[in-house]
Amino acid sequence: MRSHDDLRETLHELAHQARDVPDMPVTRAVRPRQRNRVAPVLLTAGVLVAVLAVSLLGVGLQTSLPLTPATGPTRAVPPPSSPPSSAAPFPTPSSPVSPSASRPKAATAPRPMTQAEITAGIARCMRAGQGSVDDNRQGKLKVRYAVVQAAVGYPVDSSPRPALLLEDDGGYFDCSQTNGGLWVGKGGDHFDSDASAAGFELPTLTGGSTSRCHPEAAARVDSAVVLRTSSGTVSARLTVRARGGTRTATVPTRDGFVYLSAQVNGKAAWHSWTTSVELLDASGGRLRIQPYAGSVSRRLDYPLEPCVPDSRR
Amino acid sequence: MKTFAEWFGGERLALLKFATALCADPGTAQEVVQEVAYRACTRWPSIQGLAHPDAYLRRMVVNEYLSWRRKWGRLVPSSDLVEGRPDLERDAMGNVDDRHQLQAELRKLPPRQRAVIVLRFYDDLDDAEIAAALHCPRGTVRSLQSRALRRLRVEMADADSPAGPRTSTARLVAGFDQPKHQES
Repeated sequence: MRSHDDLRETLHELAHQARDVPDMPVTRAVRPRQRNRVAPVLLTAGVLVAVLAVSLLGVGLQTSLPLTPATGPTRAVPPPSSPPSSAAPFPTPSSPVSPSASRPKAATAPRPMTQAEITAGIARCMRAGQGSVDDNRQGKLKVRYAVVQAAVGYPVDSSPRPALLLEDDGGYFDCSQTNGGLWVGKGGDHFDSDASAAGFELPTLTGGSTSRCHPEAAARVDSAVVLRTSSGTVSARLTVRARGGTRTATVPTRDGFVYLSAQVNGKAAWHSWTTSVELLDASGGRLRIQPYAGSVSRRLDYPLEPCVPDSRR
Repeated sequence: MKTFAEWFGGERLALLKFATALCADPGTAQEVVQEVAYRACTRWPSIQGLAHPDAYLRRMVVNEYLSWRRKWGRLVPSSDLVEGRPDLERDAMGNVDDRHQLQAELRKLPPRQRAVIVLRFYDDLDDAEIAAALHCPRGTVRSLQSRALRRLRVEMADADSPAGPRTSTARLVAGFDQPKHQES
């Protein structure tokens, strides 16, 4: 059993890891927010321009975007033999994926996205006008992961959703349905690799969560985790532990990446929940994972913030 | 009258340390403090009039940290198996470095539980002050703390009354709900 003093000293040690940035207050904080002051105006103008552009150019977006599908083993663009029914663009709030339409077993199996879906997804993601996307574009985009797959949901299984991951010279863009526009830079400080730890899996990306918490309606918390895995990884197992139950699903890796999405619905969304990720080899055995230098695990846990009643905020 | 830059120059490091203890990640702490600094800068005339602007900014940091995680936080994984890198993980006697382990377990706490632990054991606030900072009842503070301490395997006795010297921040935060304006 630890003492309070242990806890205090540990917290002060953590605090001393602070990295001072002398020019922080004005130069780095103000600049991005100044743009946000005019965001409503820009957003309105952007929507008008986008509507005009889409109506005038149609599929011309495909050629105007600097999309360069990755070559060789990293290519994730689907084969031309994808079923015609999957050629519809990304579902939008006005045209959601119907749960009833996803009931057939074939529809819930992961499938590569069609080129039309990828193009529509990129257009939606990159025109979102989010600061992280606008600020961090570097070079040409490459498609790294483009799969329509079901989230691991609790208490009900959710419908398939697009998982689209793009990469450019500066980082990765998560353009999935619920988490569009998230940018993750390369060479971040989250995952320090250890060259001496050969054979360990090294995830280089992580994810986030969004929530829609309406006590009167259906609450829902989504989470997505994106990992780049080594060649030994064949699949990843995602486990959702929510209040009242556990759900597990295994998702195959695609070109070295795996995208895992989880969802907790209804009453369970108001309680803490956790997602866990295990990386598996061809025989189904669990691989060792090195999330940080000096730390080795067979499972990564992602504790997630549940919905919080407004009265408690 | 100090400008915001002049005032913040003296407070920045303390605020950054507090945010780092709260976020358990220097990068996240920088983002949170930057956001708070911007908002404080734009509202500096009114904040400057408060009796304790430093305490006010700490509360802004807590709120920003909690809301930031709700909006779109980069999830940071935590591993539950400690092995490998014995030079870093174990001391000369072969025991696992408990401090390192405790830091890892702190990172695994849900944000609100971690906020309570940091406000209690880093800032030495009591239940009422934490409840005021987090906009929640005292009972919620107690249950969040109890759960967090259980997960961290920290002794529960006397957890409700902060031990050790109370910082000036602890006294200042108590006045959050009724900010006093300086007399001009």
